[in-house]
Amino acid sequence: MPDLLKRVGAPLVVAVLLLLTIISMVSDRRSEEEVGEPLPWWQAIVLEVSAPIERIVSAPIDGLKGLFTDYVDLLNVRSENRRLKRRIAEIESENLQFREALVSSGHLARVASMRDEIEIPMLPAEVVGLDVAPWFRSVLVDRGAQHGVEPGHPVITPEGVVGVITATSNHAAKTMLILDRQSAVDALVQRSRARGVLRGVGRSRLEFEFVVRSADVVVGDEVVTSGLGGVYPKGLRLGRVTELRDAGGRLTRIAVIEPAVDLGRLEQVFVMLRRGPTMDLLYHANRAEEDLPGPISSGHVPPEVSASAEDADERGEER
Amino acid sequence: MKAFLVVFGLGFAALVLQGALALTIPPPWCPDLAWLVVIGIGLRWPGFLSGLLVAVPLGYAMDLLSGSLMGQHAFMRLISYLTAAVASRQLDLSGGVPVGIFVFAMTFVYGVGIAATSSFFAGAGTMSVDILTSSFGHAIANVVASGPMIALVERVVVRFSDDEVARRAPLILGRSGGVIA
Repeated sequence: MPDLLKRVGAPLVVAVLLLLTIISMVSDRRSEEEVGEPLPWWQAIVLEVSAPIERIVSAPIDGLKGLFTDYVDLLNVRSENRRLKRRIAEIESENLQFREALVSSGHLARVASMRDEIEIPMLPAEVVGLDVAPWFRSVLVDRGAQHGVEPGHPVITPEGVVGVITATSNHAAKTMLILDRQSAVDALVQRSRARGVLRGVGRSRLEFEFVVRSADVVVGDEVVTSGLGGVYPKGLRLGRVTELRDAGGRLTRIAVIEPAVDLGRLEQVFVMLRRGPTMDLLYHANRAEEDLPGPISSGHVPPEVSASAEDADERGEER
Repeated sequence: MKAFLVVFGLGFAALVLQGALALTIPPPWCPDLAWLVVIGIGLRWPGFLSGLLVAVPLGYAMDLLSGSLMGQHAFMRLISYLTAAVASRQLDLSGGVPVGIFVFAMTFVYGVGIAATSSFFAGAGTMSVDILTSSFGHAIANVVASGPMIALVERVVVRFSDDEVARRAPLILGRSGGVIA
């Protein structure tokens, strides 16, 4: 008997561990689709330990990098200043024209009240770690459940969309970038309003697949979130069209998009403390029905940003 | 037990360090240090089962910090560990060049395995040339870092193992009962 145990022991342990990892993958997929609760403590502890250590480790590297980039920035500051002043003047002039048009059409008051409704509280967070595996695109940020961050919250920078929170511990959160192969965002071309789905392909570019083949799109067009996917609010910048091509045998066309945010050099980001209706349905699937209507994920978020119950019907396919 | 804990600690430290390093050295050029610890354990660790018990939790820890499915890196690290453990008992992987070639090849196997499991369990994209190109850069980074990382694991094994464990444990393969010391 001990001889038999010795003989089958190693293969048995290997088989059990292989099975365990496969069951983990299957159950993780199911939990993503059905529950999406914050991480249990024994998983959260890895994020809790890693985030502060990664922050400490990256501090001296960031410091050195900062010294170099500060010097380079100083060299360009005069010309940059001139360019920005010119740009501000242009934007102010455009703004004036838009306001004039709105006032004359009597829509200004309505736009102002809409702005109040959709204003979403933002939480600044620092990126402390990046996914090393080149096949996934995610980052670790130093804000977690204690700061009101929950899975499903969009992450942005002033330049545009970064991704969405997928897991949180008390003081850290994992964010899936829009570049990840599992990411899909309902988007539209700002100029022509042509709609489609923007997918990550695991590289530094994105692919925008149009709903209609004859969609009006040209190189240089800006692509923004449509708001229909139920994850990101409408109008956030996603990127710019750099190339157009056929979708290999399918009836649609694909535009290659350069992301608006340099996702390889993320430092500071903002977490939007509001979940869209799709994510709310996903992440509250196992909760009581009375919890469902409010997409607000943290207690300190003002009630006026709550989406109406009808918003929940507008769920799309964003992830 | 002491060696087990130290190697596990080393693997976890490598995991945290590589996350911070990736902010400066973007993927695929940032080496997967924690995976190299797993490979080092497979190549240099005397005990077969105890090595498994280091490799799998390190894989799960990586899953938590990565955008992968839970268990995906654990699965691939288990495969990597098994391959390294078997290869080190069948082939002469004592020199830097053979280890470099082994690490290079295993990085590709890892990439294809990740793509296959992503496609199968998450339905995310399909396997493409892109997987191979990103794996190529990653493989070069891993080969460069493999020398110091595997030497570090070897040093920990020698320093912290007691005499009994330090002997290369026999690996029993299949029904034939072929024992490779």
